[in-house]
Amino acid sequence: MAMRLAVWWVRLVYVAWMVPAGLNHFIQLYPQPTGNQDMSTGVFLALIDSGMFTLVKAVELGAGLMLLFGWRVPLALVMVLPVSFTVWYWDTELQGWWTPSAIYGWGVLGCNVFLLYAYRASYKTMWEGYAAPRWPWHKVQPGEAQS
Amino acid sequence: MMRPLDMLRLALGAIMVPTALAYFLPDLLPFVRTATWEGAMAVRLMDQLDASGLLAVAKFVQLVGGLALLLNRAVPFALAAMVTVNVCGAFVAVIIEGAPGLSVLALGVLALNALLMFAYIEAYAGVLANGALADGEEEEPGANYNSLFVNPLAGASRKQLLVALAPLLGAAWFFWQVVLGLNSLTGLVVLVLPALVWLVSFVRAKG
Repeated sequence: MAMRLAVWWVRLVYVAWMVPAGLNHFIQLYPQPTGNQDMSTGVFLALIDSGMFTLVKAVELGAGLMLLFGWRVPLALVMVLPVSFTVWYWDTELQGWWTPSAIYGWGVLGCNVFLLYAYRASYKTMWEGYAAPRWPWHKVQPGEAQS
Repeated sequence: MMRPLDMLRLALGAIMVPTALAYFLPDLLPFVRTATWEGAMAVRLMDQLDASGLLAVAKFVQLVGGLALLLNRAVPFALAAMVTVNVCGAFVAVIIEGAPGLSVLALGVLALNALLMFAYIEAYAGVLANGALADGEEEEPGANYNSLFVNPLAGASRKQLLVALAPLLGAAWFFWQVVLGLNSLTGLVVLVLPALVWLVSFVRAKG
């Protein structure tokens, strides 16, 4: 029961964080932090100016909505992991390990990793017991071995 | 005899590993040619990613994923990890740099990555499944997130809904008291949706 409640709390917090954070790039809800160190600001502005930040925020918003509406949650958690990692890296290594920024970084990555752990049963087949690869257009014939 | 899909797997591994190694140990493989950026925006972005260490992270993912492909170990996982790097590579090559040669190469690598993922699609069955349950959750209504905070018609009992109120109130308290600035308000606005679902479920629930 404790694990179940913890999963629900983390998921609610994570969703309520990610959806506005992703949406904020497309519809400004609050000023976007651009960093207060040379390196963090440089990376952030390069991502914004190049358009890559739009890709990042689209993934964040999409995954947030998937979690909010309970649609393919394990996929959403995997999709957003690179974003969570980059947020964590930016908030800690680039902004400073002992800054308020770092707390947000640890929070975002921590929620993502905790939920990945909670849904670990969904990822088992990626590691073991998977079928042999076959061409996507190849249909399995009756009696043909699955693996 | 080696199957064509195994050859494609080895080919992608053989592209990923040397290009990643050439980043970390440029003198080890001087004959390996890596992407050379010329556009001002692409150069600026890649310089920033390089200086910040983020490019090294991407190259590390590429190296480990490529080795997994060559060794035929945890291939579906390796492909999923590398697809992010290859999407970013294609984005830089096609959208930012816009050089035809680089774009064709980057899109080719991405297509190969995607084709192999489709070839291993059964390994992603759990990841792609709808209605997956987390640790501690159960199928019955009221014992999983979706039946409490997504679907108001799931049929959770009042007792189960009262238990589920604890994490909902906890999340609301967190955004109200702990989170600072406008993030606090926007977080609370998002929580209105699961709260409404909870409320409708509670009104509909019997006993």
